[in-house]
Amino acid sequence: MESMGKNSTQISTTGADQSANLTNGAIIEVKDLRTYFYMDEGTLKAVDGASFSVGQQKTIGLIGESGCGKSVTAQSILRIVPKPGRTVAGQILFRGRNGEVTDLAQLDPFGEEIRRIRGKEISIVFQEPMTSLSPVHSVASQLLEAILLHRTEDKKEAYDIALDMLTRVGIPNPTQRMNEYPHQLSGGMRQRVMIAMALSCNPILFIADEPTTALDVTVQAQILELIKELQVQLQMSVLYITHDLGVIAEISDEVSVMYLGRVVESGPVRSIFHHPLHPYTIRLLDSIPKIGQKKSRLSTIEGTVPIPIDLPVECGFCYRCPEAMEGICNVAIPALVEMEKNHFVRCFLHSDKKEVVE
Amino acid sequence: MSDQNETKILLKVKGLKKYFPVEKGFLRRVVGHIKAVDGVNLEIKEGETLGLVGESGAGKTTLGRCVVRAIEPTEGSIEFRLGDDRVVDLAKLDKKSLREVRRHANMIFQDPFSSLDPRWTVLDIVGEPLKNTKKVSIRELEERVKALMEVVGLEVKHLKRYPHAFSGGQRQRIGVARALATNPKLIIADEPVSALDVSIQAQILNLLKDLQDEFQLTFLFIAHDLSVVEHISTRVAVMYVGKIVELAKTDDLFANPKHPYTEALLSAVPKPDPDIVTERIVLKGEIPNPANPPSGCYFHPRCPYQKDVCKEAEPSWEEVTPKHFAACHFARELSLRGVG
Repeated sequence: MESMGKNSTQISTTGADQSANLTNGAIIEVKDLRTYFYMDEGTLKAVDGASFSVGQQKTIGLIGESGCGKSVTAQSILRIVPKPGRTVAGQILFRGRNGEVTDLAQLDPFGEEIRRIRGKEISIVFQEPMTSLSPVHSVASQLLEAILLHRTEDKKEAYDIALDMLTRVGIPNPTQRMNEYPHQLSGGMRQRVMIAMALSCNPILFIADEPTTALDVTVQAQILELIKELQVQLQMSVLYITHDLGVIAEISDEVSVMYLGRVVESGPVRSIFHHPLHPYTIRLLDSIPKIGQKKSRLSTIEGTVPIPIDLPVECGFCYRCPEAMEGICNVAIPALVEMEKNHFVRCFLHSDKKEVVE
Repeated sequence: MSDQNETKILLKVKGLKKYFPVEKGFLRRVVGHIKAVDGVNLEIKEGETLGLVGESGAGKTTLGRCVVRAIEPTEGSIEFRLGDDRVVDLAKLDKKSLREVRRHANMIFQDPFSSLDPRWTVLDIVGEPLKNTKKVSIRELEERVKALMEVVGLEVKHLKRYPHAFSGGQRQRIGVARALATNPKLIIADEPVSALDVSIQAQILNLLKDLQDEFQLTFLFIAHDLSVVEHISTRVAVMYVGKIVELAKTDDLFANPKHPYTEALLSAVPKPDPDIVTERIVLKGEIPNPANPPSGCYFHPRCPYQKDVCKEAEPSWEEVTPKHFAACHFARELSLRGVG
């Protein structure tokens, strides 16, 4: 993944590593990210060496079961990991709108710099539109907050921007909706308000953390179309997190499959869906019923995702993997290796390269 | 109802209605009704799985609960065939005889976290329906619960554990064991897999299929995920604002939908194949408020094929092709796109 890109961009002095180097065309590159939660029971390694990058105006899908560290990865990018979690290692190189490259992992989570990026350059939409909106503030006041902070100080202008945003996300009757409260809106409408809020400052990276999981298929279809449309209009990149493989197939250009805090396979969406290499990806794809193709039985993945506390040095999937090799898979962590062009996999079936563990 | 065919009708719902009153003001005046279920007719044959799909707010759950009278229906009859071929109307039973009959029909719920009492052990949860329907000794109860745990793939040594010690998939297995406890004929599964991860979802779906073969169960399977419904159902009913708008054999319904709403639903499902570029019918707006539904055909404000007649007259329920029913004025004329 670390192919040498031309270092044509300036490197900002704030929080940037001197060796910061973004692969050509990428707007964000996550390298060996580790976010750990320090708990009484031990250290929970929610994200343990995740690497991926998002190209300009591209959509990358992050998939995996619950507990694989997808959401914590998103939180790490924005530096909003809840306590007792902390990003302990890795780089999050981000090229801002002015071309400066910043390592977000080095920034103070409460500092000025990250606050200038959060909401303005990178914004996020969460899964639950019910709990992410404040029930005691009107739609207008919640929308205006970010706009007044990042775009303009003029209230009239901010109001117009907010109204325009609501219209763009397809909310009928926006003037009236501005004065309403979240409980007066349906689930789909609430998610639209969340998207309007996230996009009101024209971010260049939009993180969507399971934005349609709680919604009906018909509303999901509307939201997906909306994201695709706005992506072109606003020229933004999208990091789309979900466990719905159908949505991923439709919306993303590239896919990264996460398991136990690591990316176990990544590549262009077609190669991932047509020739998956990692046993986990293969089984994940097989376990979903596909509409229009009736099967009498679904294949399953035995067991569940283990809790990542004090795990031995081994491939995290080896206990659930029918192809696990005794003495190989359970003694070392495989390294992420490029098998085909841009198609990486972390599995001893494909390469015997090991991850160096210090 | 006395035909000797091998596929007997287990459940026959006729004109089922459930109106929830909308009250207003201090005196709680009734100002209107939410027509959650509005005149539903359904038949479920023995041993089949009837899938019930529709958007949230369509009345799927209310219908499912009315069938076992967990909610009192406003109107209609629910004929249910008991083991000795006796047919009873559940809607008319008094409390005592309802209790007697209820062990033949059980429910599985959506959320495996909130549907199990955190202060009860597996033994209490799975054993409760047994204790309620007949007298059993503690020994017998334990034996039966252990047997059920084995059937659903739980470890017997976890008999005295509390729900918090189990994962989501295991909890759903406890829910399934509870539903099986009284040897029911009918199980109403209300979104049993939608709260689960994809890989766990496959485990539970396979379990339900195995159990159906083993115990000759009949399922009313409520879900909003069409690919899951296609996988598990023999026949599928599509519900929209309290009414069934289409009903057919699964393959037939998915390949040749006759109602524009079904077509739109099918096209909205994202296909897990990046090469399939679907021309999606994006429905405008949302499901109407069942307290104040539109005139004529309830679907007309969102329907891409609507004509004047749709605004005025309610379409009738017709058999469009053999065993394929739909309620649409143009069901015979439209050629709609399916999947597969």
